[in-house]
Amino acid sequence: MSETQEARETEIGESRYLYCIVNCDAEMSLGEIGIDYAKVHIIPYKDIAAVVHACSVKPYETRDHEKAKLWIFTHNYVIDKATERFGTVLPFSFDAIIRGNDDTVKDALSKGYEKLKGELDRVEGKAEYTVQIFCDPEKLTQEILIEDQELKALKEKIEKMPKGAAYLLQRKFELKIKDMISASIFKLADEFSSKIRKYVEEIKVEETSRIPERYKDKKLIATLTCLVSNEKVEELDKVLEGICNRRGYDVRFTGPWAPFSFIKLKEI
Amino acid sequence: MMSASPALGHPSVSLSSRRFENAEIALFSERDIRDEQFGKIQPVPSSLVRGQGSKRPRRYPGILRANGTKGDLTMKAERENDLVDVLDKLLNKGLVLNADLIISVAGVPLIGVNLKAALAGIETMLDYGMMEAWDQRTREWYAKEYATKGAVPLAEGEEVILKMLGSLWDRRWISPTWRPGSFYLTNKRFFLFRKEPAEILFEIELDKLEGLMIRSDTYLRKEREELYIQFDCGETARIHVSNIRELKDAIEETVGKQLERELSIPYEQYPLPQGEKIVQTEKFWYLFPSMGILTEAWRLGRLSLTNKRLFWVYQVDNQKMFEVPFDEIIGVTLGFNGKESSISACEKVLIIAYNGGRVLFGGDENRLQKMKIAIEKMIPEKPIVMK
Repeated sequence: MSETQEARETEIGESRYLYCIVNCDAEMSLGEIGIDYAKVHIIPYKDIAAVVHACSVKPYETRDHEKAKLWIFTHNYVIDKATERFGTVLPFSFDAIIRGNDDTVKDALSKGYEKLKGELDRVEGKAEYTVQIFCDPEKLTQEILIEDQELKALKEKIEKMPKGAAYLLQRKFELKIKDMISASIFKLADEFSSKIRKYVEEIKVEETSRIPERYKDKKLIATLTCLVSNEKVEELDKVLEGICNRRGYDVRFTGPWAPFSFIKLKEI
Repeated sequence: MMSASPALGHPSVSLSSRRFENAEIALFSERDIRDEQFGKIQPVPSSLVRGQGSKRPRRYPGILRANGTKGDLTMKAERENDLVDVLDKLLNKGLVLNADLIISVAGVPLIGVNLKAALAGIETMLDYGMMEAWDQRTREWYAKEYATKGAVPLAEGEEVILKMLGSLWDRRWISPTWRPGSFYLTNKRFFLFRKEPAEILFEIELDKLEGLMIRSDTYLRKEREELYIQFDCGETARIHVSNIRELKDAIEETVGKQLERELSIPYEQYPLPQGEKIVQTEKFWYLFPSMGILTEAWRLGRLSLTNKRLFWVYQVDNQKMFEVPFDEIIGVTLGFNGKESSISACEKVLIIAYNGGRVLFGGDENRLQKMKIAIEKMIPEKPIVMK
């Protein structure tokens, strides 16, 4: 056992690490599924409850990439387990720790009860999904060349010409292709934004987003975070499939997530 | 699925190549890795296994297209627990605690800063806005950096009322084109801003707005609405956004008066001499004769009738490629395109015979028919002498 873990255990019981708020009215344990195998338990107030584990007053800090990763995944894992059991939850950010004991948590729940209950009701039966739409400029170019006879002819011409002579034409060709690709993207966005909106409760366009490694060679067009009713997910699926079936486009659809992006209260 | 599995020190567990039927398995596998790494196996309580003791079994859509290729299977949400997604949600979103409950050092919430630093290089984090809630100084520094790198330039006291993605029809380029960006409506201006490289592509002060008009046009063979804006100097701009009505309403509300009215703007903005008016216009293919290095080919453009002549403008460069005054037209007829063409739209063609030869236009049959009738109306009533 490392030094930090030991230090953590000696101070245990002085604070509560929060995973999420759920619909539940009884005290219970979820087992040792928490961060660093901490025992996760439930602190109810009326019909809502906090999912927590007892920890030291120190926040979880590390410079060890692997450890940080495990913590983060475990945090999400507990949220998933709670969701399975109690329905849609209000998830906490990583490392939300209340100084105090179960009563302190209960007190916080009682103070925020109306708001928390309201939010739980609002997100019930819904989950968060993230949609990333990518395009492959190369494939789109091929598509454009199939559609546009004139550009195709120009390309063939360029290929036959000596390099120096072809330069200006090539430049013109590239500019035109670039414009047509952005036109194609706009057309797609136009067509699908209304379709997607039909099946989501709320939608957010992410201004910044990270792209998984294997999509690095593609161009990200948009990242949308959507709050979706469970019964509408299949329909949303179908709409996205429609985008995916277009040559040159790709969709990454992840979820269900707890409604991280759609909680209207920022803090409790 | 943890695509970064080798980093976990388990090259033998190649999760990225596995396909999970449902995320439950994915989660357990992830759990297994943990356990392996910690050198112990911990059974997951049976009460937590899906379908056993869980009040609301939850649908975890399976993972398909795990490698991003198009399969014949339907698209489903993947639950791959990519670190990037988990980080985004768990570190930037979700509930946080009120300041008086949070664990802090001298009043500054330090939570997770080191953790974030461990997970991503600081620059990456700044790029992705992950430091937002954190160190004030870092943020200020970044804000300064960012200001030179694509922040929206606003004057003092200027407030953004509406922001919308859209595009502007730009006629200045080698070939006119739609230039995308974000349209900003402020209490002072309406402008199109492109983030990278940062540039205002178009701007107009609100008090210089003379009129607005919404008009449908065909774009990539589909009808869509576009917004035309007229300035007090008589110039016009043509733009497209996803919600034209909302933008129009917002502009009118900000200016405080009705601006929508009929503007006499010819399609494609091809300049016409005074006294000449567009009577009818339609997008048609034109069989472009071979010229210089270019071979004979069908090209898309706009065939327009004015009160004086007929002309066709190539859409790529907005150049007039063919024109003929009505009194030189001998006859107009619909026929089949005899030549081989890969453009199915050009099977039916409108043939216009004039004193210098004949030209072919291709397109939708009904539209060709309408155009034919319009041209016939314009041809002066005189006996046609065929020589």
